[in-house]
Formats: sequence, structure tokens, C-alpha cells
Amino acid sequence: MLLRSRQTRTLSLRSPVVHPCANLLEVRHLARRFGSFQAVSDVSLTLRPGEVLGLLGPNGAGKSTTMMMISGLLKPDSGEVIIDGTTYDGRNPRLKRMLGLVPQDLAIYPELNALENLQFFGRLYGLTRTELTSRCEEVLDRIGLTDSAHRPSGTYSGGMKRRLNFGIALMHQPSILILDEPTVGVDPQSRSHLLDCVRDQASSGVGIIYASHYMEEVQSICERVAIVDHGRVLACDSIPKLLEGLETDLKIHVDGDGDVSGRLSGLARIEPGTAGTSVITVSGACDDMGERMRSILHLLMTARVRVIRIESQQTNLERLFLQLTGYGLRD
Amino acid sequence: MSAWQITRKDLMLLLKDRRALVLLLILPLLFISIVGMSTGQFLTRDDESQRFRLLIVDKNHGELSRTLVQKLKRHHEFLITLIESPVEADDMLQRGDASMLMTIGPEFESRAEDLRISEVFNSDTGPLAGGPEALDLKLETRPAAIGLGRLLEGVIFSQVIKVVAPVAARKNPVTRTWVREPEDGESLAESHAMVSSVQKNLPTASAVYSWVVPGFTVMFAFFVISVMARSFIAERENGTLQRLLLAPVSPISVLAGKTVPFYLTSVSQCLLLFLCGRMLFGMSWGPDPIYLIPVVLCTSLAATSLGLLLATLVHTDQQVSSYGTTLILVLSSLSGCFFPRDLFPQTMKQISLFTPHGWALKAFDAVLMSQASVELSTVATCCGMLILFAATFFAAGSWRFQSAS
Repeated sequence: MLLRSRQTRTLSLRSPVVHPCANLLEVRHLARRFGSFQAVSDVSLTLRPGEVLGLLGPNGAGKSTTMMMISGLLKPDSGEVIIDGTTYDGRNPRLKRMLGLVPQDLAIYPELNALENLQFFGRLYGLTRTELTSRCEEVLDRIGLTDSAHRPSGTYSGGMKRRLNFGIALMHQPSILILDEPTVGVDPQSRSHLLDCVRDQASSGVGIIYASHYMEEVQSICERVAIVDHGRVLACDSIPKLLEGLETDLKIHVDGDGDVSGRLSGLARIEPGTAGTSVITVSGACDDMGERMRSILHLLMTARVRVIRIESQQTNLERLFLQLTGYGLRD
Repeated sequence: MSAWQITRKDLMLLLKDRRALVLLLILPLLFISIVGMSTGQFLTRDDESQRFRLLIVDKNHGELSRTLVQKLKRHHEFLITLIESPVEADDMLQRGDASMLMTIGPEFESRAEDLRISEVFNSDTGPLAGGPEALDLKLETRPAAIGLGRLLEGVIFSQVIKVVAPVAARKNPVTRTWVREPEDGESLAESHAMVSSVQKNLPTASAVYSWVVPGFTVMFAFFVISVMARSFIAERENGTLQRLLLAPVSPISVLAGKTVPFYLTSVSQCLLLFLCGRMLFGMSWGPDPIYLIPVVLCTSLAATSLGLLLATLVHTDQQVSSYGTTLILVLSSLSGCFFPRDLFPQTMKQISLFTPHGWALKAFDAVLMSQASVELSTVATCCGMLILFAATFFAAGSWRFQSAS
């Protein structure tokens, strides 16, 4: 939160006050139409301090539109955005200072160097000269651009530009960070660096909305994930809970079938494999598999059927995502 | 405060944009110099180029013909060159090295001496009705300059009359007393010496810059609209406009912040051009140059406000080039930036007042061309109209910007 000191008439920055039980951000039934196209139908989310909420969705799902509405750059047709208990209409300066946006497209001045970019946006958010100097040093160090700070940012590599793009959003120490695919087109080193920065911010109490197509990124840093498609939230929960319900297949390759096909009915299906083997396929939700596998393996042991190998499909976010949104190509 | 930060950033970007600086500062200076050179007023402070080169072939070689030549030499409008060979003189005329060729025939003096004073007074009738040919004087000009030739013929003939009139006057006992006789040692030509009072009042070479400099200054002041529009497009393309709108800064502050650098640039540009006009080209700033300042401030205000409106109407660099350039050239042409407004027909003068340029030029005219003191009411009216244009453009531009954002 930013405070204006009566004595010195300066703005001082301090870390946001964290209320462990309070939602930093609440999004209620946001909707937005562009002409005849309904970009967002009904999106509701919450974000707590220090939480990283992943926003997953195929192209055209409504993620960017949702983030524009949350940041106040786009007016929703209906619904509301509540920040720190106050409805946000895109105009309140106090709430604007709580938000930091890392847009998908780079938003830097290529003619200015990194230091000048940071200084400009820092001043815009009311940082005093002293605060600006120390904050610029801090941010440059955090994003790894101290040595290149005095070169025009137009000469930077893609990864450096992305880091600067991120650094600008950090200058005023926002309480809520909105990141729209911040690692697009960057090398693994820059990506790793950016993800570390995101974790640092979360650990200092900043609430983060992280939109990405990279499942492994989302899995590695997000505690909760909202999967969005056709302008709606299809699922929103912690990753383990989302994966629990995921349908998966286990394949048990056995020698012959030991005449167990009758006893497997209801538990699994059995199909002939190659060279006299059989394949027993067990399908179901992850949380259901444990008990069934025990029963099947006991059955096979009793029938003295030799198990050659067991194959399992990976239960991961990508499978869940594809299951929920479908495999069809998007425009 | 936030608006000032945006202003500061844009000033920094403007100073790094050499192309914009060349367009706004160097190009107008170049244009003014070229136009000055084309009127023969650049790099020379004397009036030679404004004078008409008159070639004279004297086949008479008499005292009267010499007197005529001396009289014409003293006439400030003419640059006289005596040529012995008629063929050479004709060649020079055809090449365009001279405006006119006068051949004084062998019978000039005798015909002048045959004239009576009454025939001089009644020059529209009698022998002199035939013009210079009546005195064996032949005046030739190039076909392309026939209008100018007729004008010069009239001037030359008036000088001829001044030379031959005393000769005719001396033959009459009454009019003889009106003629000043040559003093001891003074030749007839010297006795006809005329101090041209017109010389003192002739406009200096700087006069042409009194319309060239304001004209091009106003035109180039409005070039700022293209630079401004490009700045807004760059903010959009860089993605930084989003960041500006997300920041705790009102849209009006964003607009003001982005407009001020271009206003300052436009004012600096105008002042620089007037300064160069004075120092390099010797232009006059009129009797009260202090009134140039409000005119410059109001002109720049109108220009930057129009720039803001254009910035909200265009979306690409190509649109800036086409719409911006068309707007600049059309408004400049309509208003009199390329051509002195004094030479406009009345209808055009009225049409020009539908443009901010027209009011700016009218105000500059009032300041620069005044003889004794500046017409303050005219300057105030023109500045008021420029402010009105500025307010209208700014209101329209900010409405569009806020709707779009």
C-alpha cells in the first residue's frame, strides 16, 4: 500500500498489508462482448495474498480479455472487480497503484535504456528520487540487467526485453501482479530467471495471476489453476485436486490370460496382445485407481498369471487441459 | 506532476529522434534560404538582384545621349550596361542576361532638338505619341517578358522626356528660365543630375523575408502535427500506452503530458526561424517585435492541438503520412503560406480565415508590416481566433482519446 506522509509530502512504499484470510482480488461474473462475439461470458475468480493463480486456456478463450478487465483497461459489460474490498472501475488511483501488469506484448520504450524505462514508470507511480534510485538498482539486479542498464532497450535480446517488461511492473511494488504469458519467446535461462522472480514476489505476499500456455511452468509455480474456455471458467482448484478427478488408463501386460477374464469383468477390460500376451486396461479417475489395482493384482497373483509390465498414462495438467477443452484446433 | 513526467519522457524521445528534429528545425531553414535565393535575396545584402538590367547601345554618341545614359544610371531600378556591339547586345537579351535592350539611334539628338516644348507637354498627341521611336529610340524585350517590357518602357520614356524637355524648353524665351543651366565646369549631363528620393525609400532586400519567413514558419509549425501523431502511434505500437493508462494518471494528464513537448518544440522552432530570419536574412521585425511572442505562442497552441486531434484519428504511419501531409499542404496553400496574402483575391483572403494558418499570417503581417506602431486590436483578434481553434481541436481530440481509451 502507498502512504502519503504529511510531513514530507512524499510517497513511501511498503509491502502490502497481508490479511491471510482476506481475498486480495475478487472477480465476479465478468462478461464482455465485442460486436457479436462473446469474448467472456461468466468468469469468477478469487486471489489471495501470496497466491499464484494460473490462468489456462486455448487461444481465444478469453484470458487476455479477462486480464484487461481486471486491470481496468477494458470496461466489462457486466460483473465487477473487487480489489482489497473496493469495487474497481479502472479509475481509482489507490487501486491502480496496487496493480502491476506484465502484458503479453512488450511494453517498453526501445529508444530508452533499461534504467530510463524503469525511472520513467517509477516516477509515474510517484516514487521519490531517493526511492527511485534504490528501487531501480534493486529491480535491475533482480531482473539481471544491471550490466546492460545503459544500452537502449531496442538493442536487447528477446529475453532481456521480457525481463525489462517484467521489471517495469515491479517498480511500484504492486500487491497484485497480472502476467500475460510473460515467457513467450524467451530462452530457458531467461524463463528460469523470470519464474524465480515470480516465486520471489509470491513469497513476499504479492498475489499473482499467471496466464500461460506452458503447462510445466504453470505446474511448477501455480498453486491453483483456472482453466478457461469460451469465456467461462471450466475448472478452478489446486492442481492436485484437479488431477485427482482426471481420467487415466493403466495397461497391465500379462503372459496369457490365466483364464481371469471373467473375474476381471467390472474392474478392467482384457484384450489380446502380441505373441500370446494379453493387455488388461484399467480406466478411471486417479483417486479410484489404487483400490482397483490392488484387486486386479491380487487376482492375477492368485491365478498365477505372470505380469510382464505395467504402463501408465501420465497424469498431468496438459492431459487435464486437453480433456476439458478438447483436441480441436483453435483459430 | 505525472503529466510533467510524461512531458519529460517525450522531450527525451524527441531529442533522440534526429529525423523529427531535422524536419522541424533544419528543413524550414532550408526552405526559407532556397526561396530567398530564388528571389535573389540570400547571401547578398544589396539590391542588385532586384534591379532591372538594361543594355544600351548608343549609336548617337552625342552629349544628349550621354545625358540620357547618366540619368538612367542614376535611376535606382536599373542596372545599366553599355554595349558597343548591337549583335552582342541582342544575344545577351535573348539569353536572358538582361531585361531590356535600348538602342539610341543616330538621329536621337537631332530629333530631340526639333521638339517644341508644347509637343513635350502634349506627349499623348503630336510626334511623341509614337513613343520612344519618335526620338529614334528602340526598346526591345524578350517575348516572354512582354508585360514587364511595357512597364519598363513607360519608366524609360519618362526619363527620356526629362532629358529632352530642357532642350525644348531652352528654345522658348519663357520656359528657358525654368531650366537650370550647367554651372562652370559642369557638363549638361551633370546639370541634369537627379537625386532620386525614391532611393531612400526603396525597400531593402529584407522585405521579401517579411512574408517568406512567417509563411514558412507557420507552415512548418503545423508540421508538428505529423510528429505528434507518430508519437501517439509509437506509444500504441510499443504497448506503452496501456501502461500509461494503467498508471495512476488521468487520461487528461496523459494528453497534456504528451502535448506539451510538441508545444515547446513548435514555439522553439518559430522563435528560431524568426531569429534566423533576422540574423541571416536581415528581415525586419517591425516596430514592436515583442508582439511576435503572443502570436508565436498562439500559433503553436493551435498547431499542437490539431496534432492531438490528428493523433486520435489515425492508426498507422501511412495514415499519418497521407492525412497529415495533405492537411498541412492544403491548409498552407489556402492560407497564404506560399504566396503573400496581399496578392490573394478577396475571396481567397476570406477563405484563408477558415484556417488557423490564415489568422496566424494575418497576425504576423500586423506585427511585421506595421510602419509606426502595431495594430493591437488586429493582433488580439487573431490570437483570440487561434486560441479558439486550439480549444476546439483539443476538446475534439481529448473526447476521442477518452472514448477510445
